[in-house]
Amino acid sequence: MADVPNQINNITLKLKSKDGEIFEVEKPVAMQINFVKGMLEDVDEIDGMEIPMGEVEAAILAKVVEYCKFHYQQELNQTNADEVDRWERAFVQVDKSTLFQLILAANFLDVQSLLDLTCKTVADMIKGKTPEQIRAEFDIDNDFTPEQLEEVRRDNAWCAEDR
Amino acid sequence: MEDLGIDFDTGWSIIESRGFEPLAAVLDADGDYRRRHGTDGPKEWNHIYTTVYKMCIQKTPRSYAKDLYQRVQSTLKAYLRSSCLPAIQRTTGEESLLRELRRRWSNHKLMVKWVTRTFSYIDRYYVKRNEEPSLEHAGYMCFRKEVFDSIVASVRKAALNIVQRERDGDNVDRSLLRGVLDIFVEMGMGKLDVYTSEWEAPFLEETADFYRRTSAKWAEEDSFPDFMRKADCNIIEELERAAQYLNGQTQERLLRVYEEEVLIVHQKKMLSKDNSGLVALLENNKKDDLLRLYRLYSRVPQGLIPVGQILKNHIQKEGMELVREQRSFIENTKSEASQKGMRDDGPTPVTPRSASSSSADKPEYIQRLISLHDRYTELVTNCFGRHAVFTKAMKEAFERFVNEQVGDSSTAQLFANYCDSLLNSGGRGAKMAESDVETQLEKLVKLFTYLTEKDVFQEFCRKQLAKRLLLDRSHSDDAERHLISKLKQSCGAHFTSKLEGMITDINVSRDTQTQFREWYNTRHRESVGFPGNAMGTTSSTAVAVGSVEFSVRVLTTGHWPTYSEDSVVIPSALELCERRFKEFYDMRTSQRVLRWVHSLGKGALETSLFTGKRAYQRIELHVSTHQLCILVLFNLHDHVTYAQMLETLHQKSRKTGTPSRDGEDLLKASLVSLMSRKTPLLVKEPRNREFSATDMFTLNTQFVSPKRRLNVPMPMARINEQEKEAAHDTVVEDRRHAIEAAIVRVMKQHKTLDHQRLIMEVSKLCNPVFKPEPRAIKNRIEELISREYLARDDSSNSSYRYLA
Repeated sequence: MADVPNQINNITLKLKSKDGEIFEVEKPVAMQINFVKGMLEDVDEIDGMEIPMGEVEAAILAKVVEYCKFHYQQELNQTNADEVDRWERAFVQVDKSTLFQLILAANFLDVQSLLDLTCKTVADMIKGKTPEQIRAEFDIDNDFTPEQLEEVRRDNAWCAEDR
Repeated sequence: MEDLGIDFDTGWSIIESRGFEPLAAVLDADGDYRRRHGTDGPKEWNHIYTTVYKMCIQKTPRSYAKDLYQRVQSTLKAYLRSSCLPAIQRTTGEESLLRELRRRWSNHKLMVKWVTRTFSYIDRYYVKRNEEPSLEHAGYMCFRKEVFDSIVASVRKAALNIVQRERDGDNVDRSLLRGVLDIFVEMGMGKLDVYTSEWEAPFLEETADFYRRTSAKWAEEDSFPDFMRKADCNIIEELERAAQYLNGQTQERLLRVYEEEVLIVHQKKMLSKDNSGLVALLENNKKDDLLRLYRLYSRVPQGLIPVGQILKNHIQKEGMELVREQRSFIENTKSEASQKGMRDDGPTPVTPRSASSSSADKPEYIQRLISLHDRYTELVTNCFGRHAVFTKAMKEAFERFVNEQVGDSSTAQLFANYCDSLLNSGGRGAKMAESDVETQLEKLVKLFTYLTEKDVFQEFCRKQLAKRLLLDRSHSDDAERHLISKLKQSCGAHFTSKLEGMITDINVSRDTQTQFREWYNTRHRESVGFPGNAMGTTSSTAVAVGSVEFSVRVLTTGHWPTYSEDSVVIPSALELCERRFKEFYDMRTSQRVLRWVHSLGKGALETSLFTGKRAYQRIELHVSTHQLCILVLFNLHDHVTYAQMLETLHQKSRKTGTPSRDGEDLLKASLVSLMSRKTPLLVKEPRNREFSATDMFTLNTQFVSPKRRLNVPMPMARINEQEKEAAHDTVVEDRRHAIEAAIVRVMKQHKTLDHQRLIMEVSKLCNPVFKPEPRAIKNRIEELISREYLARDDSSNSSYRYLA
């Protein structure tokens, strides 16, 4: 039942953001979003049906749809790995707030490859940085007391050794 | 103020009222669950999914993943308990029970699917992190615990009854059975343990019961062929059944049960059933039934063994019947012959051969053996798939009766005689097509492998080949070679090396003869062109030495049978020939010694006697060398006494001063054929059967030859009694050597060995050619001890040591 017959594969779905913006997407593109896929298993399919996409805002949904379209095309065209890599790096060149919202949306909508890509981007930002640099990067207040700080350092002495 | 999100009860009531309940309602009513929300489907989906997502990602204390996981299960269970199980239990009748179960299970699967979709966040994080069973697995377990386990007994009973109805001939809903049995499989969650213990085992038990009853009835009422037809038919039905609704693993097990209850249990009884058992099938050559028998019982491990046993006994019985018939036939002929012999006052039969040997020599017996073998080879090949059990049965049966002695000659000898009759230009083979002769020979060699006394056959075969070759009685060189190659295949090269050597000798002799002629013609040119060329043209390669055309065959001692050294004194003309040949031969070789075997020689004489008033003036007499010597005596004398003949033709042996016994026997035999009814060239005075020194022989000038070329029977054309004995002696002697060689070989390998083992090992080595008696082996051991090849072991009396 998970597999929907082929003849209705070319229907168009209207993905609707929380703030009411509609994105028209071909079904196979939208099927990469498990949220949509699960829903399509649960209801009758109608061409042009409107699907509310939870808490996802238009700006973010646009990125998600862009990502899904690229991936759909890439699968069809067998785009080479380098080109995909280049596209994905450009795709995540966004401000941090957008990046975090993308992570949340990928998690909610269950788009595993997008979740992996965005999380990796954040991880790359952290890599090789001192706590102070990380705080600066992500605009985090140091809310530790000096005592707490000392305790954390003591507990994690092993990881500071080679510095 | 921090947003704490949704609390559990609020959240759950949304999930329950807008998720579970509408779904359960639509499934219960067999509606289309995809339309349960009308066009609000996506909205409802979004709402519930978002609610579950929120409840899972909220921070503690409102992180409800675990609570949701548990609540989902308890909700499923409650639903199953309160509405699903009662609905199934409410049904009446087997089929409706199964139908309701199948429906409820498929609904439950839909519900579990919905759960896994809607609560996918739990599967993705909570289940993974806490290594809990997936929602799907947990959902199935709910069904098993709440529904399946409590109704499995009645479901099984219902399904078994339906199967039984089908076996009884009813049409049943196979897809329903398939669906229900699939539930047994699915309840195992990827393993087959539930199916195996809850369905398969009871099903197989039931099957065994059913076929125990049914087949007992068949076995009682039906003939063996009918029994097999039913058994065959039911196998097909059961296989079809298995393919239609049983799990793949059951088929083999079902067949095992079936084979046990139907085939194995009744096998012995059915095989030996009066008038329709295996023996009857064999007797009436019921090929279809035999084929079915093989097909059925080859399924069963060891199932063919009793069949093979009966086949063996049956063949053996038929074979022994042949043996018995042949024996009584020989008895009858013998007694008839002896009565006839008493009445008959005529002259003594030439070279008296006992009646028994003449009738046993008839190839009918061997032919009957061959056709028996043909028949069962065909049966075993076509009906019994040439299975090892049956080839073995055939081998054992044939070995048993082929080695039975009929009459005075051993079977080995009869075999050899049959070969001879196929290959001899005077035998049956001469009138057959070459390919038929070869087929017959091949068949004979197949039978021959059953002989234990292969060496006896070999010895006779050699003697007969020798005669065929020396007397030009072989009608086909190819057939001879064919026989040899077949024997070689079956017994190895050592078995045929002598036979091959003989054929080679003959071929080499031809060349030697040609060379001899060239040599002689160059050296003795002056004497060539002897007027008249008296002897005509017996052979194109013959050499005219003096007045005699002469040809020689040089045989290698060892390849050929041993021929008694005769002491006949040959006429000087012939002696000259021999001298010339010796000159020629010695020139070519220095190591070889020529020894003349006159008893194998033959010649042609030209004479103006015995022509009567016929147009031709001279006739040719074809006689053996010895007869020739006798006849030549009459060139010089009109009357010759027996004593004179003996005196002239045979050198006195140096020891006794009298001619050897062999010589005298040969003389008598030659004389008898010169006085036989058809060729009475000589007359004897007095005309009695005895030969005494003073008997007087004269040429029978009254006799008129019916033909221009008169063949006088040669006393050595067939194997006579004496030669038979000689052949047996050779065999005995050869066996002695073979046993000794085997003993030495075994002892060389083992150094020390106890008596029993030694006897066993030696028997094993000799068996391909003959079966040595333990006593014979023991004698050889004694002999080898006395010749110090072996010694008794000091420590134990029953062991031997090999002395290198």
